[in-house]
Amino acid sequence: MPESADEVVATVKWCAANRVPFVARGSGTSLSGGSLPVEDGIVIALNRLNRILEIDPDDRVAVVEPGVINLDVTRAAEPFGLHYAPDPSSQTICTIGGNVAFNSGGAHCLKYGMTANHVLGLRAVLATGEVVELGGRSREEPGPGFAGLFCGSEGLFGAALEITLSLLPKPESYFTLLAGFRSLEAAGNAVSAVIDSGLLPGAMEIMDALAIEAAEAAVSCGYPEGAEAVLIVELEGPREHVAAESALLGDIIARTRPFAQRIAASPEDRATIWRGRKSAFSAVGRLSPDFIVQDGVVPRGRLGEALRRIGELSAAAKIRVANVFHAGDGNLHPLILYDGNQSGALERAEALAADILRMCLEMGGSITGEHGIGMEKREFLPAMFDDASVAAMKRVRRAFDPDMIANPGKMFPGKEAPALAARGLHPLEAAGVISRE
Amino acid sequence: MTMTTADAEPESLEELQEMVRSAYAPVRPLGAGTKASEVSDGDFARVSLRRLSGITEYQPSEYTITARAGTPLREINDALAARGQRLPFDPPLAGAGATIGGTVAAGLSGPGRHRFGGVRDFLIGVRFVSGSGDLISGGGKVVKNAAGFDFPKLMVGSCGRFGALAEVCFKVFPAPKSRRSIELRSQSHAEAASAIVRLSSGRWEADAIDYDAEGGVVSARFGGPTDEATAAVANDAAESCGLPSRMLGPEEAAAFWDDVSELRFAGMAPILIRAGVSPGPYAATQDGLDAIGGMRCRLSGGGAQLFVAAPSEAPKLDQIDEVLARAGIAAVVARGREFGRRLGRRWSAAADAAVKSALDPDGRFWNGAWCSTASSARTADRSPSRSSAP
Repeated sequence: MPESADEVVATVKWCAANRVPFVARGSGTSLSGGSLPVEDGIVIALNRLNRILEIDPDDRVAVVEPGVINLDVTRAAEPFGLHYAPDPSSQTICTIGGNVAFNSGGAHCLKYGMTANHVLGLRAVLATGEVVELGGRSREEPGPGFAGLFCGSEGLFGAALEITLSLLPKPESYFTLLAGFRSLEAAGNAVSAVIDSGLLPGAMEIMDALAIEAAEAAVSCGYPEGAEAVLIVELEGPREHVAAESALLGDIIARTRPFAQRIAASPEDRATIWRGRKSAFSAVGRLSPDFIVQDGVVPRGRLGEALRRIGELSAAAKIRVANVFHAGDGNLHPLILYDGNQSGALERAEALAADILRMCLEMGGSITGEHGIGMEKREFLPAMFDDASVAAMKRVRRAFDPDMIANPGKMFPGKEAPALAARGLHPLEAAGVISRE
Repeated sequence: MTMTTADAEPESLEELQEMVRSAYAPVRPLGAGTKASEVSDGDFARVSLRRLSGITEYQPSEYTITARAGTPLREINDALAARGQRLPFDPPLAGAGATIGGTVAAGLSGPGRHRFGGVRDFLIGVRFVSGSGDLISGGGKVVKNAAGFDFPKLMVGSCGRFGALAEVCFKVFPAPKSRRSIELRSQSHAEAASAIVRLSSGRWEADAIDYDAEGGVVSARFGGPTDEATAAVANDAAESCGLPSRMLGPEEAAAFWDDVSELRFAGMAPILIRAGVSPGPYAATQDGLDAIGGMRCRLSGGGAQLFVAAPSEAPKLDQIDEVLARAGIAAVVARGREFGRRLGRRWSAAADAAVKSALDPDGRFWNGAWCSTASSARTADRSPSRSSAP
């Protein structure tokens, strides 16, 4: 566990010289198994590199070490009326270094983008031991996008030592609406109506009946009883804009005929509305001894169809699936419930997870919206990218990591990296310390 | 409209791939040549992508548009506007005929980059022809995607050195229903930078904030749902800065921002430099450039990029290089005979060499005068030239 960037560099140099594989790790919350250890390798835990080196309110940047917890960046920026936008719901635990490696998302991606859209530059140690500066401090750094390339590279190039992040002003005003629908299709149609109106909400989230049941049991969020789906839509911005937009939003939602509706009247109310959604993943863990969190993307307009097909696949497999997702950008998180004590249950659940991914691909979406490929989806990479493209990615990887010692066995199919099987709740979720989307 | 003088104009993807495989000299992909056509120094084959043009897919309700690299920005902007959408970053030189592929390759964003980001933040998918002549894909066609390496981000600002863009997919946004622009008069660069900082960190969420360094004028544009709401926010923002201010009329504002996007401030200057800056240290840097003299400067994108229209005399460029380097600022020539030449802080040679070796190991794409990477005999192998040829 290095305590400084120099120690990280020295460790990587030693690994390079001795051809020992390494996995650079933050808090290990990767839902795709991206930080699982590798055989005969070492784990370089970056949690002690947890200093916020600088907050500059004029340039609106934060310079941080990779072990800094995501939410702590916003906490440090708050006194200046600024915040760090990417907010995966593991943000009380996950680290910036991990966010960078997996280009983490969150609920606000449609409007604000993902981690890579907020990383201006970084210093990294490549797998060869060489230290490089990618990008810079400006939002318009010239040159090819090397910092952007490093984001989402899943630890296959090396490890980030210092990251320069963009900070945004905290929105002045929020308008948060919760609507209950008698069908998932109706909720999906409401989302389409909002998008087609030209509004750009900060967040749009949907939960289905099973997820609602779980959340209710866990945190008593008081969602509309009997809802097959709830939709949360949140507008944010200057108060004058939000006031005008909320009138429009109210009209649009009314026309989609929800059977129940609630508008947050205070910050506490807003927090209550969100509590149900943010608790969903952990809450679902109470419905079932184990579950798989899937992450896939379909074109947003085909969400209704996708959910119908997931329902059909679920019924055919006789496996329950709870659905929670970022409706605004088509990013699905089917939660596939199973009992690991039953023989063959994990395999059947994994088969259903794979079927759902194939469905996403068929519909022109993606095999991952924000959790990355990691260990979990290596075999699917060739389904999204043809041979020439995968070969090009491999060549890029080898150019940065000739001996393939940086997080080997991840992202690319074929090479085995024995690891622990990870399923169900993260231990911190089971303890109720974190919840995630 | 700038005309490209191309050595070849492939009409199909297959033709482009074949040209790359069999080119007699390193290839320089070109769009409409609004930025890079004047480069004449060097042994290369210009390949124009103008005929690889056309919107291939546009799904307004998905917020995505896909087009071949040679598609003029004008065509894309018109298609989006017809559905109440836009590329929020105001891609520059649309009026001059610039293409979407050239915009990506040059990494050039306009004033609207301030609010939601620039080219790199809206490009979600690419297909490009690499040095092997293969068609490589990166990203995808949905706005949310974390699969594979981020080739789209890599290609932004790559200036055709790693491959020739064939097709690009962009995320788009709804266009605001109403717009208002204000003008603030500042007495100094420091005062202007303060105003930019204030406008950028407050509640008003300006779309664009630009500064004319010659005239001492900060201009800000606001977008909102209704005229009333937008005017209220714009007025409040202007008052809050405490500088002499006025609201622009709608036609005046439209013309003004069009001038900005077309980079008209640069006039006929032979060299246009683009530097990646930030508001904090800006005033000192501008003072340093003012001391050199003979340039026109515009700070765009909320204090993120500084455009410098310069005469091309070598001593001036060397002095500019020095001022920027001392300030730790990276810059590149964005238009003119020395297109692509780096100034100020250089970017990572190791990363550049790694990517080049992976995507174009045989040097089939021209590397220009700005990168000393290990190369084969085919690469134009020059050390960075400091003197401009006659």
